[in-house]
Amino acid sequence: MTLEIILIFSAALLSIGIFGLLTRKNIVITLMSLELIFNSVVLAAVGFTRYSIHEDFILQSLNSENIFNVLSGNILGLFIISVAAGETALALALVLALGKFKSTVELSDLSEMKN
Amino acid sequence: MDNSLLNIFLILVSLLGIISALYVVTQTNVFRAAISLALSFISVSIVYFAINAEFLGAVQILVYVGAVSVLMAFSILLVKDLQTASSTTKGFSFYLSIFTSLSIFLVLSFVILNSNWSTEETIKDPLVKEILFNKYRENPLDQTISLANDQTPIKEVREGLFNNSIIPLGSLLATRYFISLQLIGLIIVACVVGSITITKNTIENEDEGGKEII
Repeated sequence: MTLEIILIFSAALLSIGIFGLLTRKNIVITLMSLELIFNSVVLAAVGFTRYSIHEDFILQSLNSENIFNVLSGNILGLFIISVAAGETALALALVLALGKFKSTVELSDLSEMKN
Repeated sequence: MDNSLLNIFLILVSLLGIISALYVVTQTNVFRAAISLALSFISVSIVYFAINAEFLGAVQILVYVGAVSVLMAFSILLVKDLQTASSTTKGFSFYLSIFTSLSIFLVLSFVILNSNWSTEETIKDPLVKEILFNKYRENPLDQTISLANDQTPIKEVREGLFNNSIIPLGSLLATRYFISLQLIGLIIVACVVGSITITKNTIENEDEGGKEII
């Protein structure tokens, strides 16, 4: 039952993030919704790592080479967190530049490349 | 911790995280939204600590709560007219967004609750339980894994994988995922160089008094 609770929390964070992406026009709130979606993905990966059984355990082919593969979901989460942090830093630099030159941070006002 | 007690604790923490995430996407004050986002990140990291992923919980607090939320609050304070955001879209598109996100959540919940996950309760093998949560023995000669007992030499005894996950994670990062770790470092360097370039052009153009495109 614990895995189901974690996965439903993850699904709720994902749908809230999609709701924020669809309804809000502010660029910072959009970034926050993106972070919520990244968090839900990492949460699902860590929950599966902890509560599902790796196939090496079922096949009983354990040795010191493959036993650490049980924890590979944590490595996936670590990589996702690193990339998301770098992307957030880049996007916030863009927000600073936009606020300086355009004096707006609403996505609906940034449409000069449209036509 | 007893398993039903853990479930109740996880439900409470998840409710806290979901409520603060809803506050993020409906709030028009951006600074309050950033603080609430930090609360949502903290509840996710509490879940990590509760399910034996202490390393990721620490990384979550360090990177998300300590860096990303603070960076967002910082940039909100730096940019003029950013404190109040526009509210959510009105009319037909608002109801369409609610329908889309709710249907995604309901379909995912239906799949989650009706799937037969092969969770750890279905595994009755005592070797697996010992390896995951207690101690195991690693034979240095033929590299096999077996149960540890009182007669096992002390340098062949290893801690369980979820019991002490820091050493296995470090070992994985240094051997199997070494190239990936280097690539992640390269990506972060590229992100830092890009953001410095954008902000540097901003400052130079401000000195010349020009209103150039970025």
